[in-house]
Amino acid sequence: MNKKDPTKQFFNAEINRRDFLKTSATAVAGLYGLNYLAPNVAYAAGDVKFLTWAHFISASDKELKRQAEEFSKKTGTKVTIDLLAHLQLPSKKASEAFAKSGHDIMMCDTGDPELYKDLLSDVSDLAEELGRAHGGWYEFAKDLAIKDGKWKGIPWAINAYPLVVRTDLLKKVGASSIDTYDDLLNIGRKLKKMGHPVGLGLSHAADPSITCHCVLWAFGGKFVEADSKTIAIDSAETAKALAYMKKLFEEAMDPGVLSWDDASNNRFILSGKGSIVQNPPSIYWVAKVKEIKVDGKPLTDLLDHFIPPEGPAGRFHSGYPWILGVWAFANNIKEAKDFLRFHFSSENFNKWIIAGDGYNMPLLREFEANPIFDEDPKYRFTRKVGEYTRIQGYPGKPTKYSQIAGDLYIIPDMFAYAASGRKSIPEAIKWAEKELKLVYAGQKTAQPEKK
Amino acid sequence: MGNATGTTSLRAFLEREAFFGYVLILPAMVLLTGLVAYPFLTAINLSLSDTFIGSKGNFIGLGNFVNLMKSDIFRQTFQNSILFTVSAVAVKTVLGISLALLLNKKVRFKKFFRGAVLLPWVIPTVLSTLAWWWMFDSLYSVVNWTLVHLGICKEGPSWLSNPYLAMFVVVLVNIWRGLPFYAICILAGLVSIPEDLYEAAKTDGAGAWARFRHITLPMIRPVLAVVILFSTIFTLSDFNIVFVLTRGGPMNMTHLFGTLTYSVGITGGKIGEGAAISLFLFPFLLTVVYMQLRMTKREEF
Repeated sequence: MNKKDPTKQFFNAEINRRDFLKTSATAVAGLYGLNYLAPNVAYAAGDVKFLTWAHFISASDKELKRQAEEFSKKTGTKVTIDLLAHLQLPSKKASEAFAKSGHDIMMCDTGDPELYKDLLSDVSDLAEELGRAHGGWYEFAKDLAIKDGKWKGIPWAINAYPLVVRTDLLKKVGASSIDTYDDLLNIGRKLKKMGHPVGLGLSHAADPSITCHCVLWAFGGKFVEADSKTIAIDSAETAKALAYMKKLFEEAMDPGVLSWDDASNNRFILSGKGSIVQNPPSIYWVAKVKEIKVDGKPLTDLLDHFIPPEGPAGRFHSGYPWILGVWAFANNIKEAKDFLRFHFSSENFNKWIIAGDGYNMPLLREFEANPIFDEDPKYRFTRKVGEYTRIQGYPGKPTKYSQIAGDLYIIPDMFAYAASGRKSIPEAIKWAEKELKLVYAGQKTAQPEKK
Repeated sequence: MGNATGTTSLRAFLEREAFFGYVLILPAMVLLTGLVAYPFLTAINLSLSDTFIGSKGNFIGLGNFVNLMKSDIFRQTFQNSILFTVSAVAVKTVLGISLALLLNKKVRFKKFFRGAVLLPWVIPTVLSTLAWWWMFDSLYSVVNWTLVHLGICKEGPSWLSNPYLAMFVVVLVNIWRGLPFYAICILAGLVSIPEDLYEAAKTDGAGAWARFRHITLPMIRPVLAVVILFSTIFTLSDFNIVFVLTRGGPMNMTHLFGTLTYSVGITGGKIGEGAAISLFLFPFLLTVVYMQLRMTKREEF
């Protein structure tokens, strides 16, 4: 080499290509080899990983973690509880399903047992055992979890949606309780004039979905027939429900409800402006824990929970039951089931309900006797919601199509269109019918049921 | 000049530039294929099927696209996206050029201003959008508080509950966020215009507006074309702003393709249809890119 390579001059060393490749290849091989030297701790046989949502009432998660620790000490199987914000769970579930790897126990929503039915393991033995031991499951819980005759998950709990009411404001307008939807309208009208309107969300969020379904059913409407396939939303009863909501919106509600998210109704009450919303007891719990005061008085003294109102066709309640599923591709299915059995034992489950402060409503009849519902008189109604509870898609069974309809917020949108006047009531019904038919049309093209 | 005696022909072959060149770009090709080509082809495959997350789907051809055209929610989303993109890009262009012209003037603290202008672009979108959300929230809106205290209205409007106001807010935040991109890029174009063009025009008696129309605009046209092209693509596929502010509401009036895809494909699990929604724009965007690039090529000086 006559001319000195400028690179070599710069680095002041005789590095040529061959040497560089040799050293870097050895280095990479060495690092890779180290991987085999370190003990493989990550997936020791028997570790159970549990993914659930970050509970609004953090004491409930603390209790769950305590139970996990106790179980780990007793049996030697390590149980890890991972928490994730509830809005992020669907995409996490989807990615674990696609990758076929992830956690062992997974908290599932209403439609997940159907959506992931081929990927969730059969837990019929455990579910029947728990049902026999604790007084039996509610029918709607069974409907959710049993697919193709097999239990695809253990129903965990449901969140109650009572009416959350400022009793001092009720007194000011001369009322003492709210029992029917007509009561709600009459009282709400007076409250709005006082500057404390009612708030039932009409937007793309979980709470509006519940309240709109309750109103729809209470007036005799439904969006799908009992066969879970035929769209039945176009009826005089639906029109009555929409007319009611329109009146309620115009005369008693805060116009902001069209843009509410799930925390908006909490803030509405906690700020002192709102008078009545329909929400799980998280508002009451926050008021307790943060000692929030309104007009100098503790908010907890001013709030009360009432059972959801009654309409011409009956009293209805709904919620989002959580189901604990075990992935079929999980590594430690037996240990996962053992932990679930431990968690559902009378002692532990009652402790978990108490930690949830009235938020976690049991789906096994034995646990309705839990003392939390007696301790605080504000919870006297929430223990009874089970008998009125129906799942979205009633009178049909919850299917993946009812889940998609829920995720697209078709029913809240229908109510929002009618209430705000953007569409007339017949137009809003026709719109919803069209969108529902498009969602349910998938049933014909989807794969035939595997028997 | 290869090595002569004493070396194997294999090494000679390996060291040929033609072969070694490809080896060197192999990592980049692997990344491109894995992270760009594969997801794109998978998306096309999914959009032609009725797959649900977690189960195998069947091939249904253009069924998803046909269903989407029938769906009111999708048609509304399409309308929203066009309105959103056209208004945001138009305002950003006008304001961007003005801001760039201002930044080009000789003032004190010029470097500070040029840096400060970049802040909206640099701050993570989700954080800045959360701040905007608080400003327009129905209970705690700072904007309403100001309007009420200035005596303009008794109780400010519920911004995010009114379909038209919600779209206005979403476009406003997008403009606020995207303006720095325009300003800095156009500024780069402005800086390269030679001064003597302006002096010649001034001696010919051209006023400020005439100078702008006949010198500035034509000279920054290539930069403007590129900026508008990129901005259209970014704006059309925006997700963060709409998701944080309105999640597509009220009543689907601010849904964009990105947010609708998420709601249908991920939350709803109907990933075949979700992929179809997200791919709907692909032919349209391809045309936009082609037209813009042709416009850029045509500039010959």
